[in-house]
Amino acid sequence: MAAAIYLDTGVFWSFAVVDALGHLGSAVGRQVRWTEAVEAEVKRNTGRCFELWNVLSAPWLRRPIRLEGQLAVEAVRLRDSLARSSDPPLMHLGEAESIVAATNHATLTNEAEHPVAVFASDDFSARRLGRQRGLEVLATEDLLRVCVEAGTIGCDEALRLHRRMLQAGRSLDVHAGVDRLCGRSHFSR
Amino acid sequence: MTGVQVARTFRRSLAMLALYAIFAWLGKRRVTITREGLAGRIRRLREQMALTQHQLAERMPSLDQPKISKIETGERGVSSLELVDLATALGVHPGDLLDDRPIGEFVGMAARSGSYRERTTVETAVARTEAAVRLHRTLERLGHGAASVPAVAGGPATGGSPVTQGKRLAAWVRSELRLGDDPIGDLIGMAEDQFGLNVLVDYFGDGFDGLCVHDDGFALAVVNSNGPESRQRFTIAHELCHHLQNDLEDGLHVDESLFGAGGNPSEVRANAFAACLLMPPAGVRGLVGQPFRPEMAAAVQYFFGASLLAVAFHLRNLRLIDDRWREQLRATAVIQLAQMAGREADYRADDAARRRLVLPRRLHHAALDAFVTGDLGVGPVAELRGETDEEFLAWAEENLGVRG
Repeated sequence: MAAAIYLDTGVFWSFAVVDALGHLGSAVGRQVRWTEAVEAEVKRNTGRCFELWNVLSAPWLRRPIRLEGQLAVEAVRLRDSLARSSDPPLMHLGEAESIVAATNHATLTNEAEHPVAVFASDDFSARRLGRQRGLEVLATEDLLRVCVEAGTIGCDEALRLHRRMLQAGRSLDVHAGVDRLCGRSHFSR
Repeated sequence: MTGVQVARTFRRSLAMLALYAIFAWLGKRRVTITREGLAGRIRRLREQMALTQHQLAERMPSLDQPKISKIETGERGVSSLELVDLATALGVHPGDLLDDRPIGEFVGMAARSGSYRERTTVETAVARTEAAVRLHRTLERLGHGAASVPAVAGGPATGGSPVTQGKRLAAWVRSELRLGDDPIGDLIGMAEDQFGLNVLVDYFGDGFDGLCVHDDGFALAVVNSNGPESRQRFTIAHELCHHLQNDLEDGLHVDESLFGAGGNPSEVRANAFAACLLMPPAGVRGLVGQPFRPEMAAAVQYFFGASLLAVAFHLRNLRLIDDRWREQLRATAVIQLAQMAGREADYRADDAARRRLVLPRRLHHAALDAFVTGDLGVGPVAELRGETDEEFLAWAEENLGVRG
């Protein structure tokens, strides 16, 4: 059964900066979810990375999920576990919202097609918090592998894209090689 | 140990345990905020800033006036993004919209409302305090709390002049801990372990000595390391008195200068307490004979770990020296007296503590515990430790086995 995948801004950024959002969309577009805070962060950063505009216009991307009431409170509280007191107020809200949304995916969306959710982020702390809350957590490398498995890109292309992401300054696993990017994924789509 | 002493220790331990339990419960008692509660807070904050709903809407990208109106009447829910936007527009931390007792209101207010000579220094110290209090609340919510023992409200320091109260309280502490007339080596450990006062020592520049803050189940002293260790110790003892006496206004008390507070009774009491706690009168008398010689002041200074300034005042208050000697000691360079008394090594050791960082042990351990379990991210722990995320991660990899 395919899981919904909640993407953090950083993962969108990694795929956008190498113009690979189309591959992501072809492989798992129907499963990708995002939240309002992630959308806002993507918008805020279009000045730093012009290619992020392509996220906002991706035809396969659903409307961002809005967290209200106690889930909104939970997201703001969770942000306090990630952010410094001195950080700008919106920093880490995207990760916090994504974790809360993925954790509460079933009740939040009532989706029969994708009843469970995973969280995708390249942020060290957010990944650990997600895992601690019982989520399966993916990284950009895992999503590249999913693209290879889905046949939207070949292994060479996955390696090339990953190298370009690193060159663009994305904080990814510098040691990721063929095994990580092209091996069989345990993640069931 | 006699039977009476055992019984007294047992009673004290029981009382401390009970107080721990009460304060741990107090720390966790915050209820989930309701829509109406949130609506009321937003309206109150907007009115405090004398903003109309239109004016607030102009400050926000995500909400217009009709939506704000509905939020304030509880008709419309607020998303997390809107919550943060609202907090930013209202000039508060997002968490402060959700808490019964917003940290910014009682901690941040002090920095804004006080008339400090070195405002920037005090604001930096207050911001450090606010971060620590916020971290404590986060840890409480995560179940990694570092609840403290509360202040001994009233206690033995009632009645008499502020000096008498301070002396009596110091004698009580020394008696309770069976310190006799010995020097207190680990003052920070004593404050933290025996009285639940977390102590954070950090460098803030000139114009601030220390502060003490109480937040539900959490007590913290923040002390400036712009001076030598002996001066920091006096400040810690001074803040311990504020903690024990709970004489904080709205949960926070800022000391710009311990010796510049004039005749304020709580400051006089705290100074008398600090002097007698660090330098027990009987112990001091054993080191100071007649006729007085300055080397005796150095002996008191380095035996008890007190600053020369504090020693000068204390000796005068104990009538061991006259005003002339006090002023002469105050005018003496510390290094000069150390050289005269052959205590240069002690002087250097004391002076080496300038600009040091000492973390509040209980809070720090709770934060590390939460980090190791994955409940807490890198940022809040690194912030407490005064490090960048990368510095902390490198340390955590080596010392905690957590790989980045």
